Amino acid sequence: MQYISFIQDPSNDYLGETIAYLKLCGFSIAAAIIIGVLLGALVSRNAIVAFIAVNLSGLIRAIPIIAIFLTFVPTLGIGFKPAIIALIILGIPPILLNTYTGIRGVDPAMIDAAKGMGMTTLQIATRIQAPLVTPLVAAGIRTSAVQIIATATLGGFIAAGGYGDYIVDAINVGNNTELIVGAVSVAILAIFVEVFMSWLQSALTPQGLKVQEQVATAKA
Amino acid sequence: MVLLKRSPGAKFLLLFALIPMLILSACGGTTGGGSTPTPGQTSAPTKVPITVASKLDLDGHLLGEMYVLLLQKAGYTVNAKLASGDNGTLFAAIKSGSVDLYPEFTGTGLSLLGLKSAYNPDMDYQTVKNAYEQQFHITWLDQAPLNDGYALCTSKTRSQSLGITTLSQLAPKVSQLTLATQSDGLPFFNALQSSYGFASTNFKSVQKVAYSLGFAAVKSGQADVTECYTTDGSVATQGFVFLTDDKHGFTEFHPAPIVRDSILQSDTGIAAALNPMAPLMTTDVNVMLQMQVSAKHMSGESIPQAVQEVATAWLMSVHLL
Repeated sequence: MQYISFIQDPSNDYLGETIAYLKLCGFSIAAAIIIGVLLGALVSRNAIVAFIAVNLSGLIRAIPIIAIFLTFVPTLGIGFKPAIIALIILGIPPILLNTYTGIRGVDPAMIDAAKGMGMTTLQIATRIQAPLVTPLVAAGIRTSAVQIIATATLGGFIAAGGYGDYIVDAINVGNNTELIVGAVSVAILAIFVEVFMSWLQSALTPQGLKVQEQVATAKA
Repeated sequence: MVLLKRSPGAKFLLLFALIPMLILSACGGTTGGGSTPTPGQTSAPTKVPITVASKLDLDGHLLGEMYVLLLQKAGYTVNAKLASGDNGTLFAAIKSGSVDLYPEFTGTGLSLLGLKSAYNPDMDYQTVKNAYEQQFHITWLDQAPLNDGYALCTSKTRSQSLGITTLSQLAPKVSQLTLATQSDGLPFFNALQSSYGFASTNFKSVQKVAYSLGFAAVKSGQADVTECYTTDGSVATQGFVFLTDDKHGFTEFHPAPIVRDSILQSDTGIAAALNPMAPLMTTDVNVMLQMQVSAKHMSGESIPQAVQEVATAWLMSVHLL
């Protein structure tokens, strides 16, 4: 059918656009994770800074994404760079919020007990806080990843490449086949990442917490 | 009436029976519509309401506004949805009937239907006219001499540093240059192959961007040549120049009102209201009107307001309003 022939047509460069899209999303997700987790951990130490960071994150999510994309074009030009910056900014809030909530959610009594046992700050961070926070952070990454994958299509307006090219071109020219191929490709990628992240989140949740959840749901 | 209180089923049946009666009574109204009503008449107009749309670009917006004004002068009730969509959206809207009339360009019509241009404006007009009639029952009214087509532009400084002012001069240098364009221009740049021997793929690289970003890309040095429209007044004001199409490799784009047959056939006055404007709309007139709108917009008016004023003033100056 026409979708298969569209993908096979070399002038459409489906493979090239796929690689470009994976690069665009992959790089943005990775950077958003690193920055989001670091910032989330940092702001959890100070209530005022945390307040500012949390509300700023919420504010960023309210701004229309295309505005963020176009804001960087005058300074960074067109292409990969402004798209990456905009996507990273889009991806940080869920991760930052979840990291902050996760760290704040660790029972202070547990930290006291760990200090009482003689653990150093680093040991507390890696052996107590990390396993407890990881499931929440993974959930944040999952949200962020899917949002980035869906939004990277706007790159089609600023020469960033990827499936966005198909969608923008299809809108200009009225080619429905191209529109479906572009949109469905993005959807498949998003679903794939969602399923993988869901498995990852489950894999990273310590056994003990899973049992706790099961007991809680059984009692309810 | 006691029946209604007792049984909801009967209430429903009664309402159901009323609806066809209402529809039939509405149909009876057109028998008196043979004579054209004068504008001062107090009776309801028997002309059908027409939904007129236009695309987002200023050129189309101006034309759409003129159609609205001319139809209103002829006594029609017009539902104006100007600057409401792009190529694909409006085409779908007119096919589905949510829009009745909008200005379309011959070159765009060919492109939407996947037809080849003969690089002859009259032949192209006939081709789209026949195709739209046969496939979609949409009529193309008279076309105007205005050509709102594609061109390649560059900044004055880049033109001087490259030493090019025409497309023939551009041709040998294409492999070292970057093209910035919106994807709608690509088929037309590829069609330059037959006249000039190069297509978009012969450029060093092609950056696909939204139209206005192409100019920004050339200014910042990320691109050398950008797509531009032949009636775009901002080319001159931004310090850009058109590269002359000396071998006529570009398809021409002439506008005409396209209207659904069912609306057109219900009243012959529509064609009579709009066709007189066609021969008067030339490229020069259009560029002048667009610049007037820009000037008004710069001094604080909103675009729709400026478009309405400029359109009204011009139609009055040519005694159509």
